[in-house]
Parts: sequence; C-alpha cells; structure tokens
Amino acid sequence: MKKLFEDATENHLILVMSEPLELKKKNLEIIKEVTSDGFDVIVITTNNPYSILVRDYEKEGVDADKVFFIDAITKYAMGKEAESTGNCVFVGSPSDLTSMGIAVTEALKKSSETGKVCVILNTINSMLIYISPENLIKFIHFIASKLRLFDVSGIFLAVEKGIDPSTLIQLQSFIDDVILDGE
Amino acid sequence: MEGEESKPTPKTGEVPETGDRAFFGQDFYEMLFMNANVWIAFIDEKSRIKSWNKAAERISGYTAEEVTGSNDIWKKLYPDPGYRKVVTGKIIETISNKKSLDKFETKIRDKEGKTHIISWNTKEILDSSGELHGYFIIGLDITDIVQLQTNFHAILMNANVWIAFIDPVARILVWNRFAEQLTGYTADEVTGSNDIWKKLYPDPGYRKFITSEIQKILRSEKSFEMFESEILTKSGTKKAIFWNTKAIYDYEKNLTGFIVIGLDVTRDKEMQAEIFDYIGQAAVRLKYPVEIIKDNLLELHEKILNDDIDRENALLQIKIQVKNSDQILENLYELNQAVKNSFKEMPDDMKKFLSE
Repeated sequence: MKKLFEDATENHLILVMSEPLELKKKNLEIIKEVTSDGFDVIVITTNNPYSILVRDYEKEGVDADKVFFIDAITKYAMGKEAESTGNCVFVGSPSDLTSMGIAVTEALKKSSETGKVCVILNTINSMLIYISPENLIKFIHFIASKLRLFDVSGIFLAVEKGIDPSTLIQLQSFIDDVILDGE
Repeated sequence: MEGEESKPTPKTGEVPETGDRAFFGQDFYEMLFMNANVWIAFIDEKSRIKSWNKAAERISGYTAEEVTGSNDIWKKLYPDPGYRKVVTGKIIETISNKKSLDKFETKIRDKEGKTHIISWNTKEILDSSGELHGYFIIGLDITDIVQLQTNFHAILMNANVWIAFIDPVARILVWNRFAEQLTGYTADEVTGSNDIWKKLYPDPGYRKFITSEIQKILRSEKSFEMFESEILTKSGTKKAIFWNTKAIYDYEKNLTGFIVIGLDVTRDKEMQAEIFDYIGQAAVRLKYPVEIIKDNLLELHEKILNDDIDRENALLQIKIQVKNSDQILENLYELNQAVKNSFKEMPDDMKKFLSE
C-alpha cells in the first residue's frame, strides 16, 4: 500500500481493485491512512449509506471531521429527504450523475482551499447497478478532469474482475495507476 | 432428309450390298460399327438410310429393316415440319461450308413418342473419283446429360448461396442469382470481366491483402475453406462472406478456373457480436450487482450478529438492497428488450415472455 500513498501525495488518480469482501477493508485502510497523512477526504458513496460509513470510520479511529460525504444512496433508498448533516450532501439517486457532479465540484471548491484533498469513489461496481458502462465512463471522465483541474488526488475503488474488459480499458485511459489486491 | 424414294431393306446389322462395304471392309469394323454404343448411320446423298446400327435402333425405336433404303425416318424423328425445316437447313448449310458437322444438337421423337436430345457428328463421304457418296452420321444420346446439366444449372442458379465460376484470371464466367441479390450486381454486369473484384473490395489496401491471400491459396492449389472477407455491395452496405473455392481442371489437368462458393455470414457475425455484448452486459449489470447485494447482506448479517449496527441503519441497509434488487430487475427487463429487438429470429412466444 505504500506506493498508493506515495502516488496520492503526487496528485495521482488511482484505480484500486480488490476482492469483493476485501474491498470494505481496503476502503477503511485507505481512509485511515490518507486522513492520518493530513488529507481531507471527499467520499462519493453509492453503496454504503453515510450513516453506516461514518460509524465504521469512527470505529477505526478515523477523524470523521476530515471526511466529507456525497451520499447518493440514502435518499434514494428512504424515498425521502435524509436528515441534514454538516459533512454530508445527499444526492437523489446513484443515477443522478448531474447532481453528483455538481456536489463533487462544490465539495472540491470548498476543500481545496483548506489543504491537501483526496477524493474516493466507493464503488465503481455499485454505480454500474444504476448506470450503463457508457455513462459510468463519462462520469469518471468528468470527475477525473475536475480532479486534475483542482490538482487533487483521486482513488477509485472497484471489485477485481468486476468490470468488463472494454470498460476497464477505457477507465485506465483516465487514471495514472492501477493497484490490484496484494500490491 | 426430305424425299420418298425407297430401296430393298437389309436385315439389322447387315451392311448394304453397294460399294459401302468398301468403307467397312473387314468383319471387325463391321462388328464395331453395328455394336457401337452410339447411333451410327450412313446415308446417301438423298438422305436415304444405307446403314443403321443397333444403337440407332435402340435410341430411335426403329429397326434397320424399317428405315433402310428410305428417307422417311427423318419425318418420323422430326414430326414437326417447322422444326424439321430448321434442322435440315442448318445441316445443309453447315455441311456445304465445312463438309462436316460437329456437336450439332437436335431433339428427336422416338417410335414411342419419347423425346431424345442427340448430339450429331456428320461427315461428308466422297468416293474414289471425288463424287459425293453420302454422309457418315454419329449420334450421341445426351438426353440424360442435358437433363443433368439443366438440373445442375437450376440448382446452381437458384441456390441460396453465392456461386460463381471464374477463369484462371478471375474473370466471371457464371454468376448465380444469389450472387446478384447479395452484391446488387447482375450477371450481365459482371460476366466476362474481373472488374467486379475492385467494386467488391474498393479499398486498395484491403484488396491487396485479399488478393495476396487468394494468390497464396491458388499457388498451393488447395481449396480455401472458411476464408473470410468483407465485401462492399452495390448499395454501399458491407457483407461478411465465408468463401470456399475449388480449382477445376480439364482432362489434360490444365487449370480451367475455380468454383467459388460464398456464404453470407453477415447476420451470424452480427448475432455473435450481440451475444458477446449480451454476455458482457449481463455480467456487468446483473452478475456483479447481485454479488454486491450478497456481500452487503453478508456484512449486514455479521454486524447484526456482533450487535454492531442499530435498528435504523440495519433497516436502511436492507432497504438499499431492496432498491438494488429492483434496479437489477429493471436492468434485466431493459436487457431483455434489447435482446428481443436485436434478435429478429427469436420466436414470438419467447419475445412475449421477455416482455413480461
């Protein structure tokens, strides 16, 4: 994992691929180490809701004040407005890419003023439940462009062997490194 | 052939008592003449039958006794006056010019009324003083061959595959109807030339590659099964063709050309691509998402077991998995619709099932 954080400090865009059951652990490890390295983190989640993630992070000793969440699943699952919170913005649905894009841009504007920032997308595979591979590629391309514009690092989490070869090849064209399980 | 004169009739196999015997001479030749498996006859300058072998009897149904010494047989073999006149005219014209007639095909009616197609070879015979003595006629019954050729031609022309016969420099000799339909070029447009290949392969680079591949095969003189290429039709559409070509040689083993059979596999290729796409889509939008739900539920199960999640969050997590499942069902429905629309060959009951 050492390489990952060396790369993150250089504002790289990294695709981290892991076995499904390992991905959760990997997410926690990354958050823990990135925050302890002085980064503010923006987590885009389309699978685990904010309320569960924040508890998991706190349990692992992560300073939750350093994490800002863009939660695209809670409001969609509940079918109503989620309880307002200072470090999370709730987007209507994982397929509402426009709102997610706006939320990311706004969060980047705020966070980048304060210091080192890293954006984590959790996970690419769960987005594919709601959007086509073509739209996923467009969205990742948009996010990657924003991150480069703001000179910010990005980590995209995905299940290893969970993306079809054609989509993976296109994803790799936007990012700097791919880290597989065990590397 | 016209005329009504008659002479005494010899028995079957008997060579006439005139100077004709001089032409056959020995018994050997007489036996050969009589028993040959082709229609052989000798007629005098007025078309009267002088000799009539066994094959002539068998094919025509008329015995030597019935026909010898008279030229009535021609009216019987050609009962239609108009057709008889055409045949007679052609024979007279050709023989007067060339002194012989080769592979002249006519239709005769035998004694039982059955039609035969005969390929005639006729040669003028002069006596020692140079005077016309008569005509030596050989007739080959090609009825079965012509029928086979007709049937073969019908099969070839109407086969549901592209069939062409090309000469050694790729000029089109035969171009069947399916080739016309598939390429948009008619047989009239392509026959006698090899320009069609430039039209079918307009890209010089691709044409060069295809030509090189074909030449390799021609040099090896082997048929090339499953050789695939993409052609451009007259209407501008592209078609994927699987080729099978076989070299054809004459009796002297000289290359006379190639039979080219082309199968249109355009739709098969499209379907293959659609199936691959379906499998890919099914994995991305169905299999992996189901695995995500499974993993989320396993995680939830573990958290509940360890009393690591409150009721509200547990319910939220369950609700998310229900939403995920709903979306997967929606994805499956969309995929089924796409499959239904792509595979026009799909039976209606299957289309209905996928729509439900």
